[in-house]
Amino acid sequence: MARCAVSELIPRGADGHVLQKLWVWSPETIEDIQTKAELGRYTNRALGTTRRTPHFQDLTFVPCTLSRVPLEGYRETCRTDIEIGGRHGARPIKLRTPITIAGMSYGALSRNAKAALGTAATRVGISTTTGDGGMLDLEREASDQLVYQVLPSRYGFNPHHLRMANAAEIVIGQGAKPGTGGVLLGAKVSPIIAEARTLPPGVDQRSPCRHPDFIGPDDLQIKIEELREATDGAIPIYVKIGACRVPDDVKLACKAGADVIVIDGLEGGTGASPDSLMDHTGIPTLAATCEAVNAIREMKLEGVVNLIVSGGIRNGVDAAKALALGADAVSIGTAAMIALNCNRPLYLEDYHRLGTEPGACHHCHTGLCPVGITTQDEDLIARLPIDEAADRVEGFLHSMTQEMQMFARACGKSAVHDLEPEDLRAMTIEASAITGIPLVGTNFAFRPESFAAAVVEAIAAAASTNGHVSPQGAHR
Amino acid sequence: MCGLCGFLYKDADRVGPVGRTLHAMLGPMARRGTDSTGIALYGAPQPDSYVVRARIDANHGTPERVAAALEEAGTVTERSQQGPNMRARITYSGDLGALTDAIEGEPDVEVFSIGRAMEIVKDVGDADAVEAADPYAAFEGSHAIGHTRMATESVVDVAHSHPFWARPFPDISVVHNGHITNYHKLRRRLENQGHRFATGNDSEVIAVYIADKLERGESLEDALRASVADLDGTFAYLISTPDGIGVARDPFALKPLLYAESDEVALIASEEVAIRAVDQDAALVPRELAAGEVRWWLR
Amino acid sequence: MATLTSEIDCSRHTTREINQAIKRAAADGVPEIHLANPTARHALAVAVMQPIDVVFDGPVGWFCGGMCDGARITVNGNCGWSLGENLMSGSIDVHGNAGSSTAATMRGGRVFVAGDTGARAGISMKGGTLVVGGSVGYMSGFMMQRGVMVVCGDAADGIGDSMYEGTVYVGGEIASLGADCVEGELGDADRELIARELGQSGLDAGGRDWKKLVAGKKLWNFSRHEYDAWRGAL
Repeated sequence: MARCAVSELIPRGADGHVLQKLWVWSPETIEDIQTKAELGRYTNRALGTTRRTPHFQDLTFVPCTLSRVPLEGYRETCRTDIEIGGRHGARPIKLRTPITIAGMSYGALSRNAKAALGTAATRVGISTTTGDGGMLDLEREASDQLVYQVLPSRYGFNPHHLRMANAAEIVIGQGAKPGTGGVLLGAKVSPIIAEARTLPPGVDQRSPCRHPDFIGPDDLQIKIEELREATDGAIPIYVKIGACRVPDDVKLACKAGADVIVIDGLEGGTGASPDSLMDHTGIPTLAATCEAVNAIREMKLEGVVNLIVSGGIRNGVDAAKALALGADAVSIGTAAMIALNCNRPLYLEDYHRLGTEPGACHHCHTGLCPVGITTQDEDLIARLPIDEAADRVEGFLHSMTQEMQMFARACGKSAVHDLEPEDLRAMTIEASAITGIPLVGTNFAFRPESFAAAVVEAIAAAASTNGHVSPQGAHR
Repeated sequence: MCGLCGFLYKDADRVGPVGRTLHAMLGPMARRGTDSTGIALYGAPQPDSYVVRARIDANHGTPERVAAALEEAGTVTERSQQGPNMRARITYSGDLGALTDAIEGEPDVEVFSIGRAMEIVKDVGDADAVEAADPYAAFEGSHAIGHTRMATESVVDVAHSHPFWARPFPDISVVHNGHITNYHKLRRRLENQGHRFATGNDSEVIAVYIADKLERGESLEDALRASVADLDGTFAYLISTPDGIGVARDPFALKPLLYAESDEVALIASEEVAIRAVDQDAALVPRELAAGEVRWWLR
Repeated sequence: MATLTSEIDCSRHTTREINQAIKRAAADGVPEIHLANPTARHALAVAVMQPIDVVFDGPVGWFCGGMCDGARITVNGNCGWSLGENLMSGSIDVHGNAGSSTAATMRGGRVFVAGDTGARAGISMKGGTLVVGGSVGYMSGFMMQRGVMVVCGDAADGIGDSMYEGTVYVGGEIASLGADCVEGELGDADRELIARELGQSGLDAGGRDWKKLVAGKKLWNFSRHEYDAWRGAL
C-alpha cells in the first residue's frame, strides 16, 4: 500500500494550484468521447452498471429486542427450502435454499465455468440456467436441475435439450440491456462457438431484440402453449423480463400463463453490452422487486406465480432483504462468477495486458479472461479446474444461506420466507419512497399514499379540535 | 394485447344475425385476453333518431336523472336498462357532444356509443360473460366488429375496453391490437384541434384520428392509408363506420390480422380459428394482411 | 399394426390429448395418422421426434409442427404463424397460405407452403429448406444464418435483411432488398437446386426470372468506414 503525504491527497498541478475536474466533462467522459471518435460507434463492456443505484444496501433490518423474541442460531431450525413453478401442475423446481444461478451462456463462459457452477448447484440443491448458446452436455451432467433458456436468437436451441431440461425460461430481456439485441464482437466468436451458433467464425454477432416466432404478450400465451405441448406439460415455464414497466409486464406474464417470473434489474450483469445501455436502461432491482410483488398480489396470484429477482444481489443480506420484500428466490450471475475467481488478484500480467487490474476488470467481452471464466482459450480455461472452482461457489452459496438464516432468526423467524417488509427500515428517503418501508427514526413511508393519508388525518384531527390545523398535528 | 374480429354483409340490403356471428368469433380468441370483451353492432339505421348506449354504475336516482336529461334534450322513444347498461332511442337534432355531456353530467355514467345504427356493448370478462350481462347474440344487423382484451398498460375496467366510440362522431368506432407509441403526441395534436378523449387508452386515438379525417371529407381509404404513416408502434385495427369496415396493419407487420371474403360476406380476425368458428367452407381462404396494408369493405 | 392408419376427430379432444395421441402413434410405429376438424387450433403436432406421417384435413393454427425431428406433416388448409419453428428434420407441407414467421429459426428438414406466406418467412433460419409456391411477406429471410429459401412468387420489402450464410431464390418481383442483401450469380448448380426443390412439390421452375440473393457481408464485421450500412443496423 503506497504511502503519501496529506498534502498529496489533493491533486495539484506543477504550479501548485489545485487541479479541478469538471463534472460534465470528467476524465471518464473525455476518454469516452475520444474513444468513440476513433471507433466510429458506441463502446461495449461487460458486467454491469457503474451507477450507484437505490439498492438493498439502503435498507436495514430491525431484529428482535424487547418487543419480539429472537431464535438461537444453529439449534433452532430456520428453513430455507422452497418449491417453485407448480402453477400449471408441472414437476416443480426444488430449491434447498432460495438462490438460483442465472443464465449465462456457454460461449460467454468457458465449459469449465459452466461445469463448476452446475456441480456446486447440485451439491447445494439449487438450479442453474443455460444461456444464449444452448445446453452444454457438461452442464447437464453436472447440474441436477437445469433451466433451459429460450432466447430471441435461438442460438444452439435444440428441442431434445428442451425435453431434457427441468424447466424452460422464455427470455424477453435482461436487466443490463432491456429492449435490445446488441453486438458480440468477433473475438469471442471462435470456431467452436460459431458452429454452435450456426454463424461464420469471427463475425461481430448481432443478436435480435425480439423472438422470431412470437411478438406481443398475447402471442406469448400461444408460445407458452407450444412449449407445454413440446414438453408434455411436465416442466415449469419461466418468463424472464428486464425491469422496465414492471407492473404492466408482470401482469402480462401472469396472464400469458407463466409459472415463474424472473425480474432482472438495472444492476444485472452481461457478457457484453453497450456501456450506455447498461447505465441508462431499466430500473433498479430494489424498485423492480417491490413493483413485481405488488403486481402479482393485485392479480391475486401470490404463492401461485413464483417470483425470482436478480441484478446486483451480492450476498445473503441482499437476498434476505429481497425475500422480506416478497420475492420467492433470488438469482445470482455476477456474484457466482466472482466466487469462481472473477477479479481475483492472480495472473496479474494478464490483467495488465488487458489494460486493467483485478478489482476493476469488466473485460469479459475480449475473451481473454485471466482466470479462465469468460474465455474459450484452452490455456486460460486450464486455469479454472472444475472441482476447485465448484468448491468456491459451493462455499459462497453456503455463506449466503447462513446469512439469510442469521437475519431470519434475529427477526424471530423459523423460515427465511417468513421475513416481511415489517422487519425492515429504510435508511434513505428514496429507499423509503421506493419500497414503502418507513424511514429510520420515523413512522413514515415516503410514498404518495402516506402523504395523502397524513393530510386526511390532519384535516380530520383539525375538524375535531375546532378547525385548527397545527404544524404539530400534521406530523405523525 | 387482444383478439379482433369483424363481419360484414356486402349487399346493402342484407341484414342477418351479426350478434351471434360475433359471439362465435370472439369465443375461440379468448386466449388473447379475457380482461374484457366488446362489440360494436350496426342495426337498421333510423334517419330521424339516435340509439344511445351508456353504462350507469351508480344507483340512488342516477338512472332516473339520466332519463330526465335525455327527455330534456329530445324525444325518447325507447329506453331500457339491463343491470348497469342502458339503451335508449332519442329523436334529437343538436350537437352530439352536448348530448354526451348532458348524459354524463351525473357521476359514474359513461356513454358507450351514439349512432343512427351503431350500438356498443362491452364489459369485463369473456364473450359469454358479456352476453350474460347485456345480451347481444340475438342482434340482427348489417355489420359488426368485436374485441377480446388483455390489458397492457392501462386499467382493466369497462371504460378502457374496446370498441372505442369516436366521440362525438356518430356510428364510428375502433378495435385495436397493439400499442400506439406516439399516442401522447397525436392526442395533443387532436385535442388542439378541438377533439376530446374519454380515456387514457392509446387505442382511442385511432378512432378520433380516423373520424377527424372523415369529417374533413376524406375517404375511408385515404384516412386508413394516412394512419399507417402517422401512427407509430404496433397495430392491427378495425374501424367501423355507418357504411362498412376498414382495416389497417402496421408497416412492420407485428400484429396478426387475417381477412376472408366471398361475394356475400367479409370476415376479419386476428386468428383463423375465429373465422372457422363461423365458416368452415374450404373455398373461403383467409389471407394475412401485408405489412402496411389497408383494406375496406363498404355496403 | 404397421399397416394401420389412425384417425382422430380433433373436435372431440383437447390439444394435449391430440398431441399425446400423435406421439404415442409415432412411438408405436404407426405409419400414418389423420386428424379431422383441426379448425385452426394452435400448437398441433409440436415436438414429434419420430418418423410418422401426420395429415391434417383442415386448417391449423399457430406453431404447427414446431420443434419436430423426423415427422412428415401435411396440412390440407391454411396455417397460422410460426409453422415448423425450429424444425430439426422431417417435412411439413401446407396446401394453403401460411401466416407470419413461417419456418422461423428452422435448422433442418423441409417446409413447403403452396400458397403465400405472411411477413418474416424464414426469419433466423439456421439450416434446411423453405419452399414457397406463392409470395413471401415483409422482411422475409431476416437474419437468415444458413439454409435455402425458394420463392416462386414475389418478395415484399426487406427480403434477406441482415443475412449471414443463407441463400434466397426469388422467381417473381422483388419489392426491395433488405440491408446488406445483394444479388449473386445464378449458376447451373443453383438452377438444378431450384428445379429439384420445385419438382419435389410438383411445381414448375420454368418461365420465371430467378434471382439469387446472398449476404453482401458488409454487416459481418463492424467497419467505421461503412457508416451508411451500419447506421440502420446498430
